[in-house]
Amino acid sequence: MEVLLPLLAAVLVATGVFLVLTRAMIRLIIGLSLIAYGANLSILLAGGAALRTPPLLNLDGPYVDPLPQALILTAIVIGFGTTSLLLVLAVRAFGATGTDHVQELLEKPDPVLRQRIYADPERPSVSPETQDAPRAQGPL
Amino acid sequence: MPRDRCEEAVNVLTLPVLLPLFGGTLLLLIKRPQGRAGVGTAAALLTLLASCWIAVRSFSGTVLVTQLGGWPAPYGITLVADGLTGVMLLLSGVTGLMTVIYAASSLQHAPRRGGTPVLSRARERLGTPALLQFLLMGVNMSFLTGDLFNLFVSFEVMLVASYGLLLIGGELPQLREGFKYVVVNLVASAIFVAAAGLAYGLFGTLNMADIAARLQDVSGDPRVTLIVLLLALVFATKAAVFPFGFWLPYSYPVVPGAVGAFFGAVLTKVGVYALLRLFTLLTPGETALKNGLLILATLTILIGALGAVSQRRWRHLLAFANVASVGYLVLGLSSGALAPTLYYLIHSVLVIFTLFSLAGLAELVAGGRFGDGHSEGHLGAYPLLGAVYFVSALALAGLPPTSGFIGKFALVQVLLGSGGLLRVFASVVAVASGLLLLYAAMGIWRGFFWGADDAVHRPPLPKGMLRVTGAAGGLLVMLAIASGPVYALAERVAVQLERPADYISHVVPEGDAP
Amino acid sequence: MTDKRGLELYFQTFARPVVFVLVFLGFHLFWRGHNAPGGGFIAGLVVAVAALLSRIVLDRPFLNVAPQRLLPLGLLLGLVPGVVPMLFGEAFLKSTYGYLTWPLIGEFEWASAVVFDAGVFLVVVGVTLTIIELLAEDTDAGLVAIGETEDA
Repeated sequence: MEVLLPLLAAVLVATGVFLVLTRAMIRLIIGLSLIAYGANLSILLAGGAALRTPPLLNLDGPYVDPLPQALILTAIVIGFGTTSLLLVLAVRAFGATGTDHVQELLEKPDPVLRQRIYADPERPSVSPETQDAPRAQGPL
Repeated sequence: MPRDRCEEAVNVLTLPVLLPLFGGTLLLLIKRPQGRAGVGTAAALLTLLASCWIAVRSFSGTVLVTQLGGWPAPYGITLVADGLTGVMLLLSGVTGLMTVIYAASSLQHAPRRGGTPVLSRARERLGTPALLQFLLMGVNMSFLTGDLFNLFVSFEVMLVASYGLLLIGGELPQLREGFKYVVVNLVASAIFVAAAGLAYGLFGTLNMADIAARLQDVSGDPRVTLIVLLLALVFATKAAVFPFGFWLPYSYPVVPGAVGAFFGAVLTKVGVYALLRLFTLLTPGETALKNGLLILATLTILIGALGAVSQRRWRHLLAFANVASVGYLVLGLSSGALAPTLYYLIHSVLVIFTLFSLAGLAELVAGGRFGDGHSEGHLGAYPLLGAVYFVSALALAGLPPTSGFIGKFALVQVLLGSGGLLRVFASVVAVASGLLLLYAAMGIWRGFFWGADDAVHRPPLPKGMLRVTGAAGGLLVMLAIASGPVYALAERVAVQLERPADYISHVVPEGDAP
Repeated sequence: MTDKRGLELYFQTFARPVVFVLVFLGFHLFWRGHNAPGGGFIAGLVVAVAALLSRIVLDRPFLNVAPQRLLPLGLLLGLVPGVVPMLFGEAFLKSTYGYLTWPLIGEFEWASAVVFDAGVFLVVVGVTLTIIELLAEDTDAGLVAIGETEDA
């Protein structure tokens, strides 16, 4: 474990960096999550990678250090929030530019594109029947 | 002995975090915009009052400590307030309150043309006021926390709120810059998490005071240097030190006016604060790292000043000027000139805030650009704005009667006093960049205020925005007038920072015996 | 086309009991969180999955409130166990626990942290559903205050 986990963290981070360097936005997001997982694994390693019982009082010790797990949970929750934010951002950018290519998003000249991607809340831009359609057969 | 003082549960320390959280939550529930403005202002005002109380107590030299959940220091999360925290809380409280008022007032107006909308009603409805409170909460928590991992969490609270503020509205420039901003910060966060993990593995604790107390045990361990390097990298990215600051100059200008002022004035300074803590508490030595940072800081000043000269838009120019001011701060802390750095920090927050709020007003008058020949000679119509701009531009450049001069003079004095070719070069760059900033600022003067008065349309400006801008300018003048007491305070805080033993013994009472 | 309808029928038949079981699993996890692995966060995720299933397959909203409305409620609920001890001069978030003896159930341990956990539960359900609804929508709405997930 002591050898395997650092290797796994290294592979995760390396894969993540590779994906971040590609131009597709969705790959970039997956790559960022992989890097975050690598970082989380390194916290787990900091607590020692020995196989021990969970820190529950009705089990017999020696217990594993609970703090790194708490830290990782916090980091995962934060990562969950930021990753979903990035996903929403990628969807919006795709809606605005019609591409998920990072370079095109950054270089496409403004006037070509719709300036406002989503309208003011009081102005209904989508009729109710078209609004329900994508929901019913969405990718979920 | 210090234990007893801790026991009296200084719960006030939690208020600068809890009040914005509570205010922001209430703002999510309130439906009427007027109600939101009132509640937001009240929350910011109460936060400022709590911050003032903490600051006044901490300036007397005591270190206030509270243990969350009643768990003693190395096991629970500790909130600590020393003099540095007091200064930072005061700054974030004052600018936070001004930002909330400015934002509420800017809603009365839609921009005439171009530039970033000041703050449209649609954005306000989508939650800008609540996000602003959460941002304030994250910033205050970063200043108060005494725990490395909690610092990470505070950064994330702050960043998530800032992502929201940057992206609300969803126009293409926002998506573009927001994407860069989010990605850069996510990578920095992953590095922060890894560094915290390493620190826990090495020290067995994440409490910063406890780490500092155990530093002697592991002196000479290369892992300490690695941890410090990683942390410095993360904080330098947040503070936008060259070359990690490439994301800043084009992303801050897309933030709506009111909030942009807070971003420019305070958010980068959180990184500077973290660097200050790192270098005073966790790494008393590390001269090689400090010298490296000194070179980077010099380059940051140069890049910021040159960038500012090249810009033809208010906010972009100010964003580069902000980079330069961060450079001065990092130069100060890496060369060990703590008192000048603290003074310059106060000055920098106020001057950047004043200029960004002026930029918001200027956009209402003539769009975000200046010097394109379409809109000049606004001095006659807005003499007060011209006066505030004149003072803050001189302060930005660091010319004599202003607070900028006092800060820069003290900084250069320390640099030249400690000698060495590197430091002499850094001080030459610092002075020369001041002149470049002056040149850049005079570009706005010539292109916006000066010239023939040919504009026909004179929009009335919202009173709240004008008052906030005037108040910020007034504080800047006050800082110059009261520079004696303020500088003395900065020196006291610097002395406290240079003796971390006091801080450590208050947080971890059994202190030096590990 | 007929295949697709058949598939939908299949899904709809099985989704009902699955949603039911998931909700109970969620509440069981929440309850376990007292002293065993479980708790508000994981329970919130499970219930959010149930709500999503109900929304997508049965095409029926699980709750009658907009998920964004849950966020402030959950945050406020989470603040309660933090602030109440401060009113008694204790430290922020100071937790307390005790035992109640009820008829039929017997001795029962309560802890003030469960209120915080309930807040986390509400925030997690609200955030997850908000995010997925936003991702599923093509237009409009905007980035409504998502991402206040840091309390867990």
